[in-house]
Amino acid sequence: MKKFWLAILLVLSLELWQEAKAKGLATQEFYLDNGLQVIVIENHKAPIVEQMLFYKVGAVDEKPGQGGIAHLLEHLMFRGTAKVEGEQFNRALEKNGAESNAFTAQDVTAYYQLLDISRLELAMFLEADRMRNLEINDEAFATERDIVFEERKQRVDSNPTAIFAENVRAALWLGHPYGRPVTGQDKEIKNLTRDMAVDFYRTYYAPNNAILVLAGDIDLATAKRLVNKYYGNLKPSELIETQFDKLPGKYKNKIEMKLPGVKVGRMIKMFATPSLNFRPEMVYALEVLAEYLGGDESAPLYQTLVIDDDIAASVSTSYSGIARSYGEFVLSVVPKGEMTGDFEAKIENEWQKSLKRLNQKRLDMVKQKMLVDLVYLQDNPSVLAQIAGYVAAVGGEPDYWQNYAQNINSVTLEDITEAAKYLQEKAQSVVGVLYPEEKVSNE
Amino acid sequence: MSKRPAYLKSKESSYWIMSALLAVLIWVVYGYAVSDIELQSLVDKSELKGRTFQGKVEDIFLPESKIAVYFMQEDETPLVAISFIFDKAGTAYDPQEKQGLAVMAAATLEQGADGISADKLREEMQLNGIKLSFEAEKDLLVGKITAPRQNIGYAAELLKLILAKPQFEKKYVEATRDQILQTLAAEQESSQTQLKLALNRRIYGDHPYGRNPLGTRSTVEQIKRSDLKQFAKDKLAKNNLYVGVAGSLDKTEAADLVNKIFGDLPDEAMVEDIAEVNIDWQQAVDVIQRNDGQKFAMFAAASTCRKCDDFYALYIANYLFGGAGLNSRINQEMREKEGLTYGGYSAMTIGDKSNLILAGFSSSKDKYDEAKKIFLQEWQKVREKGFDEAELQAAKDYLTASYNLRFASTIQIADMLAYMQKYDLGSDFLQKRNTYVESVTKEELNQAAGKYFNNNLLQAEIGNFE
Repeated sequence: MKKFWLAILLVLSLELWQEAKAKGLATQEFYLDNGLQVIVIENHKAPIVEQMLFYKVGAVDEKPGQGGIAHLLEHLMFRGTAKVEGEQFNRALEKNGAESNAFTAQDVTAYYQLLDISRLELAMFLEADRMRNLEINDEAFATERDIVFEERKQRVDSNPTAIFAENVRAALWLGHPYGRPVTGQDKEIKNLTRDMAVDFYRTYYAPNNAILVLAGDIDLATAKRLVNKYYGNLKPSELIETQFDKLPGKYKNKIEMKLPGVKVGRMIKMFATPSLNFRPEMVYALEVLAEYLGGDESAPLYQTLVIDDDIAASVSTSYSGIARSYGEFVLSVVPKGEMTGDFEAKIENEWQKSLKRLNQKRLDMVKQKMLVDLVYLQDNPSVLAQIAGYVAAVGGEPDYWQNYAQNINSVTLEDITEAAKYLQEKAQSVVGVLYPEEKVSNE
Repeated sequence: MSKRPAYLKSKESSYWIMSALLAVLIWVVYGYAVSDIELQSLVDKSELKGRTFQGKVEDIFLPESKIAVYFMQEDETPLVAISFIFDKAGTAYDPQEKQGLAVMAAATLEQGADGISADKLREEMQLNGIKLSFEAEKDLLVGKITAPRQNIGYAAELLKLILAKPQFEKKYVEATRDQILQTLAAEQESSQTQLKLALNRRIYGDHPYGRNPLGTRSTVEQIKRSDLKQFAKDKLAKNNLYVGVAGSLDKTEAADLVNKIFGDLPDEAMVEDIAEVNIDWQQAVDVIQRNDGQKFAMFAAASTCRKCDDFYALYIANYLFGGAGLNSRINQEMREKEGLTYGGYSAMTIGDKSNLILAGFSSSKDKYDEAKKIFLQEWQKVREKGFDEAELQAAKDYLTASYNLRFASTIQIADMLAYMQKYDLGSDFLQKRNTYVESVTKEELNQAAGKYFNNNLLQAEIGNFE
């Protein structure tokens, strides 16, 4: 078996990272005069390209009572413009073999097509056209409102864990817009009007509020020429920036739920944390901390709670700081049996013990693992397109990717201690407990 | 200039006026609305036209071990991916009293090997960027390993040990067992999963295809480590193995890797064939009462086999009916026109013993009946009236234009290469595939539509029907 020296591997992984940078992880960037930000990710494996257009607008920008309008508008964007009428958009992309879709999140809305490179100009024409020329007729509006209502029913109402997650989020974020569901509530969806959609569209859909990502078989010069050709004439808008309220303080909330149909208990702990836009200096330490505590089976929380103590079936931690407002650090536990009164305390106890056990050697290994995995970001251009676009859309620095490995690599034990202390003492958090409805039957 | 008869002149001038009017009209129309033809001209005139995927499938045969490999060199990403399939090692091949064995084996195969502890093994893989996973399908056990090209040799050493001498370390087997039991319980929370399982039982009855692939509580509780070891010993062999290799390496390196990993496996797998499937298509609708925000429906009909002559004809019929996303007939009728559902779908499944068309949708309580009526009408319409030339062309356009998307990732390519062997498509399949699609005629399409979109349509539904 191969001998293993950590130091050597650390060097190796940085080399891999350098290679990654040289071969395509490095994102290239430029702006058009109208403010459109463009990111190009070259990957010449196959003659295909992913076009993603991110708008810096999401559910957080909705006016009170208009929950779901960002998402409904995303649907309406497929319903035709003055130039490209009705279903022509979908039909043209289908005919040309594109995988075309969109998503709405709290912070951003994104539209994308993965397609043969020979079809990129068509996709650019269509995407640029619907940025400014959308036409919403009453009939399409009414049908699409029904569809998003059905979507919410399917995703949330038939799924107790989705209802639980929605309530936990509301309890963490209180009045902050992150506490509202992206789909909107049933009642809100029913009350959305065409005028609200038009207003939202006119306010936020403009080149100076968007980021275009092209990832695949395209070089920077060609990208510049074509982006100018198709997006260059779009007029910028005056933008309104949504201001986020500060969370009231370090509330430690708790919500317990019992829902019909639940067969397995869950416990979740969520923290409102630093992000790329709020105390960004702590972002990388939180990433490493999440990977260390509960990133996989080798993590101390898994080893103690699942393997040694046998009180959980699974446990994991995750963190994302890619957000316009706060980030989120999440601990999720599926208990093995019933959650007794001291279940939460036991987990808290293991959390603290895990922090104490972290040493330099372990920290180096966690970082090593994170760095070596970066090479996988190069495999599929769509994956990097999505992450790079998201980072840019929430206002991440242009050199985010250039510095990423270095930023992870420079996280120290002290940084981790400080990040953990922040979660413990300063971050608003919530513990959510979902109890099973009844004892699990035997089949 | 020669003189022209007056009538000609007048005709010429009116022609000129007509042309000018037409030009204005085109300008107005273009400024206002663009035709499908004008949109398509953006593709025809594109400066990005005419690039083709350069990768080639190479057929490698290893004479000593008698292993056949499909290989594709792909140097853009500094990765190597190997996909491998063990035939007849999937969930349907679990012994009756050990249902869930294949799933549990897939989840625990990498938990220790040849004296190396599971923890050490995991650490080594993590620090070297090696990703290994196993998944049990109905017929097959599918493995995938990827690594940065510098580390693929080491990855191969580890995988060789894992396949030859898996330890199935007790503490991880027990943790996996707990997770499977919790998953079995959690499946009851999901209407869609319950519906899928119910329809499966209705289609296949007692046949192994009708089981929950995870097993039952009692069978999962009974699986021992010795069963897992026996599973590995019996089912991981050379004569039921298909391998696909893709990435940044050459043919010789690929052959060496495969030899290293699989060369010492037993020659022959110890697998017993399962029974043929016999489906009773006349069964009534399975209605499951459940308090839920929506009602869900699923449908199943017999399909054709992967190598059958009418495969591509039916593939296109299914695409047009429910496989084409928003542009499919059912989504046009149920969703885009009426807003009755978030979406419907249909898909073809392939199995050693059975091939199906599966379809479904969900709707809220007040819209469900209407949606279902439309779904069934559309199903019948496919059978009775088939599709027209324009629809056939639209399907061909999509299927051929999307061809290159399959090469997006090295990992995906390796997978494709392994499945191409399993389904005996030949190493020249990728060159021929678009021809297969293009050659389907309207008659063949509608013959397949008439044959398979028949009245033998099994149905199951779940939701609040009270």
